[in-house]
Amino acid sequence: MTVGTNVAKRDAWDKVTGAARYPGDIPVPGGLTVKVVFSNEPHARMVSMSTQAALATEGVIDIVTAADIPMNEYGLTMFDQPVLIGVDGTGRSPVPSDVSRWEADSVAVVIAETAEAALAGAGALEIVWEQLPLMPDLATADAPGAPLVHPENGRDSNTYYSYRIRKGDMDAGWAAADIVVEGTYTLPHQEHAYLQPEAAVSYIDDEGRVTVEVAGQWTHEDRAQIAHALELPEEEVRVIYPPIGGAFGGREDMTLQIVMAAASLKLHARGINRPLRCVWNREESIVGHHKRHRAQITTKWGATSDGRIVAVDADAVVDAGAYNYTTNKVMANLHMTLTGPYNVPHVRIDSRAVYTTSVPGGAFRGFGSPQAAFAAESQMNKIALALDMDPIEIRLANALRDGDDSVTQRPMPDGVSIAEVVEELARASSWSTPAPTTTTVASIKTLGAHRSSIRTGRGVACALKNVGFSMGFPERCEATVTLYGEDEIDTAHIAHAGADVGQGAHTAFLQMTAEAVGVDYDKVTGTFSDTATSGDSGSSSASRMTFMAGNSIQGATEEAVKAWIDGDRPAEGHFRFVPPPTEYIDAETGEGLAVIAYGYVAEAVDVAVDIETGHIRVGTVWCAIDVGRAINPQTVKGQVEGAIVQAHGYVLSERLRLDDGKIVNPTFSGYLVPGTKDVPDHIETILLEIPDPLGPWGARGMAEMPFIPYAPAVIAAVHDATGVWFSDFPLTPDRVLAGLKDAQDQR
Amino acid sequence: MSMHQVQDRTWAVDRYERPATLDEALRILATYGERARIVAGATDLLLEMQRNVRQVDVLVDLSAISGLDEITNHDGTIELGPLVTHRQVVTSDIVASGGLPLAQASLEVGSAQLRNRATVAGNLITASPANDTISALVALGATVTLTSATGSRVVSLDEFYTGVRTTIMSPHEIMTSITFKELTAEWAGMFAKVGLRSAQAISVVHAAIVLERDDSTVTAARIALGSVAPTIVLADAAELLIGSELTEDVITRCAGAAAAEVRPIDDVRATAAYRTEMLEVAVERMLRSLSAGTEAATWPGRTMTLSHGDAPSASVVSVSGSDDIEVTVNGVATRGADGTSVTLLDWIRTNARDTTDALLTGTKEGCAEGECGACTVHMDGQAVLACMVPAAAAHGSAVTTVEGLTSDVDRALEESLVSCGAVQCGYCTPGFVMSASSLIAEHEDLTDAEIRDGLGGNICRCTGYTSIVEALDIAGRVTS
Repeated sequence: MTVGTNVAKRDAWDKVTGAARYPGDIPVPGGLTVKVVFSNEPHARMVSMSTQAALATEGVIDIVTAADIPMNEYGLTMFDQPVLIGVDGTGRSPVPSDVSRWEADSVAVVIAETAEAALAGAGALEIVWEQLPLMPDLATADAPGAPLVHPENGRDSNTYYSYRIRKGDMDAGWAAADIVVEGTYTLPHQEHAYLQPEAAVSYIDDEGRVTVEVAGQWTHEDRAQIAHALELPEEEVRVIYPPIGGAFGGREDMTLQIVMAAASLKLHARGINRPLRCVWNREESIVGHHKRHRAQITTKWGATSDGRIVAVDADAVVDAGAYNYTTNKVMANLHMTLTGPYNVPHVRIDSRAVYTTSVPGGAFRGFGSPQAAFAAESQMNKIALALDMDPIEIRLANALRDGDDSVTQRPMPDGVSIAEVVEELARASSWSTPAPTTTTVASIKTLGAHRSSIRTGRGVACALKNVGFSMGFPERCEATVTLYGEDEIDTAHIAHAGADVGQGAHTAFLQMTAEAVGVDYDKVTGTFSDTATSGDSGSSSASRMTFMAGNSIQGATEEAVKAWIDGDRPAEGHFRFVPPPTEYIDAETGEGLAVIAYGYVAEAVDVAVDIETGHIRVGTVWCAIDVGRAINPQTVKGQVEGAIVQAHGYVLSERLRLDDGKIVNPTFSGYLVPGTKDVPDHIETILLEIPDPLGPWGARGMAEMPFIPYAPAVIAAVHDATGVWFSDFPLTPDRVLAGLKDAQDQR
Repeated sequence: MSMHQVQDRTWAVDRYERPATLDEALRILATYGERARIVAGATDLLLEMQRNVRQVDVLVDLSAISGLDEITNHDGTIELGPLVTHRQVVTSDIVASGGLPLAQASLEVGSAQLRNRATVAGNLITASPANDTISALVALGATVTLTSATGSRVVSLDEFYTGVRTTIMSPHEIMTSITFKELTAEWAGMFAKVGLRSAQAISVVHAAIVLERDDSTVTAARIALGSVAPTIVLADAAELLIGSELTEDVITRCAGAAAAEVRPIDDVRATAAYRTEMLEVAVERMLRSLSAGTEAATWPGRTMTLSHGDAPSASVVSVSGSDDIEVTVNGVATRGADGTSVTLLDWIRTNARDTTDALLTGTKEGCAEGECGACTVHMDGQAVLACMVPAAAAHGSAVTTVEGLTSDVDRALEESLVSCGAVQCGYCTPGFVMSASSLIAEHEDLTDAEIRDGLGGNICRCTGYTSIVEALDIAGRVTS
């Protein structure tokens, strides 16, 4: 048995000894340096750009501009973003390329002998801009008559995407409700802060393919978008992922991929075949890639006196930023989880995305669910309080069960386990008979905890999260398994494109291959993350990779075993797993089978608040999560702990500051991710293994789920400690203290 | 058009000078004036140059001059030389017993790796009102000696500052000494600060209080407040304590009066209103602590310095932009250019090679401002942030990178990190390995809290740290 054991990650030794080469570490003998030049203009029209002086700069070899991008557009789910801003574009894309819509829109790619020369060349670009009105947030961009960020899309406002849910009969719902609780919630940006800033190497490989080695989440999609923008057949493009320094959704959309390919091709056309390298610094990384979405959620819940939720009404407005990225998909998840993991008979929800001249929102662990869960779980906790019900009991009373309809009015996929997860959480955390908390907070350095001003509290929240792309987006995952040996299978090999972003995907692939083939783990080797050696795997996102890859590996192994029985040596099997299809939800009612698998999670936390300083410390976090089957329990636990600490930063310390759409604090000294001493005192991970009927060995997706309920659980615990509900965060000390004072003033 | 400011973080100087004598250093300053700058750790200066806050042509490094890195107590006067690092302060019995506020403030500066390089004199001269040691030393009534080619002057530290990042110091002067009176039995003092995280936090407010008492009646008091005005405020509120005992009434009146004296600003870290309020809370709690005699209650029995003692004294060098520098990397003498325009981090990654002639790229850049620890290397036995060291400052040093760890202890540490699942994306891992290697070598029987302290300068975004702490716990037990 290999599945279910804690084998050490295959790549860990290289990483711990410094041998692993991330994109910025790859040697480029005789290589050139690339500088991608940001516009530095949140909203402006380019009147002219002269590259003459830049090209004449010593050491500058060439400059890629909009003119070099035949189809100057890209985007993961819609093409609404120019690859390069310029006045000399081909004009073939409907997206006007002469307008910069955020500060990190790029205007040129300078290729030079050295970094210094590239920088000097960038500084010598002569650009004339005409300023356009700034609409840096929802307040300005969503105001009536606001100027348009994307007038080319033909809409009369900056709202460009929307969803509805109309379920049941709202009048009947409100009539059945004994109490109604209303809330408005404001969600902040979050920066991914993966430790490895963006970097890429590009060259023409020995088969003539333009090749980009880069950190991403989906090799084949990167390849498709490069091919689209540069109008190349996909076979002439190759994307390779070397070790990736974290992603969390932040690499699902591209940064350097297209421009690096364009730069290599431009030089190649001139007969120059030197490899190129581009490495961003931390500030370029924070300024230059998308964030978790800001959003506003206004919602009203009705409940009977015995705690049944009978009506949910909600409006969500999502700040998409300057470009869609994956906003429409993120918003779909947000939209479909605004009722939480509960069976609610009467629902009206309207969600819409609004363009602003600000940093784009996009994929980030949880993918819209954290924002929705903050609203939904805060509502649930407030209703429990209003009804004097235990927050565990009220959740169990409303939990979705097998056979229930989802909020999109289709049967929930079998294996609904939210009730089991919540019950296990209550048991493990001794929810009904808690031990006295010892959690405290030393808010003033050198003084220790100040007992008289410490208030403690507990909070709970739970969530579900879809596994896989959902909403009709085509799903697939390919694997090739090869078996070696004579009489018996001695070794096996797995070829797979799936991205290991640090979560341990490749080790899981090897474990699942060993299990499927029936050989020891150390008899399996792999070739990964290269479009030249593997078929399309889909992305490492949506908590889908183990789920989809496992199915593809099982299928490929079956094929290989057939070939083996037929006498092939080696015996190769290829399989393209296509799960049951999902549906786009109806535009009017939101009906549709949007999701085929879910993961379920519940968390409880205890906190201490210093009511004189506003500092908060989290003591113990209990996380109960149904993972279906833990392929590698240690790796699974690592995902739980990592997700919780990332959520800890989201709710307590990570505050991205913008001024007129420009990021003010794009540094680790200004944007505070948790360090060793900031994190919860203890994290108790409780794994449930209730098999998913579609999951390989029963496995469910799990890596996003522990992030989702953490913020509302902490907010509930802070309320328990202080009597104050916070409807926005991060709960930085100044915000906490101001909130406590406001509440005091209102009493 | 103007390029986005984040896209240009280059810096360069014409010369890096490490003279043999103070006179020679002063002569260089006399020659170059404002174009020259004294460096010690260079941790603040490098950032100022990269962010175009300061333009410098010549860096003058004093570390080859003997006797400038000492902490002494002569007849009740404690003196710090200009090269005394924060690490030296936090491990000094002289300072812990005779100048606790300075020891406490120094432990709150940056991370262990930063404290191994950054000097107290540098912290004073950077002159940011958020710099922690300033309030401590102002409360201690410190004076500084400023020396130029034409003579010396002694200045009270509270008269040293003229505004945010400005001082009375002339470009021709070197701060050659920091002195203050030892806190004897009738004296007590402490430093405290409010920040936004538990380690390497930039102060929201900081404060230091020093009191003399006759029995329990206060006979002298100094209260210094930081991050609440362009310069450190020596509060008049201290007068309210004189002649009184530290009763609750006196304490609250004094704290309220102190808060009324300051005019902080809103910035990315906190609002002005919050700062004022925190100042009051901090002063109040500090006075209560002094009243109860618990001012040293949280001072650790041992500190995590990530160091195997003092660095050897540096050799005399003079490097120009066109000269090669030489650094022994993992035991291999390595030569390379650009010592005056790149950091040690970039220099290692582009010059140092292993036995197969492959470049050593295990040392990573994560933030380039000393916040994440991914670039941690050992330089002359101390863990330092390679992104905060001008490469020329390492000329003549022995540097160990993650690729150079070969001892059984280090191997066991690496194996423990792997087996505990403490490696996810792995980009931060070399930095953690280097910090952890120092930590395990420095102390036996580390507690979890000490491990977290020691790794406080390293950021991981994947693991949540639990598995890393567990790995060190196991490795420490195996090797001790």
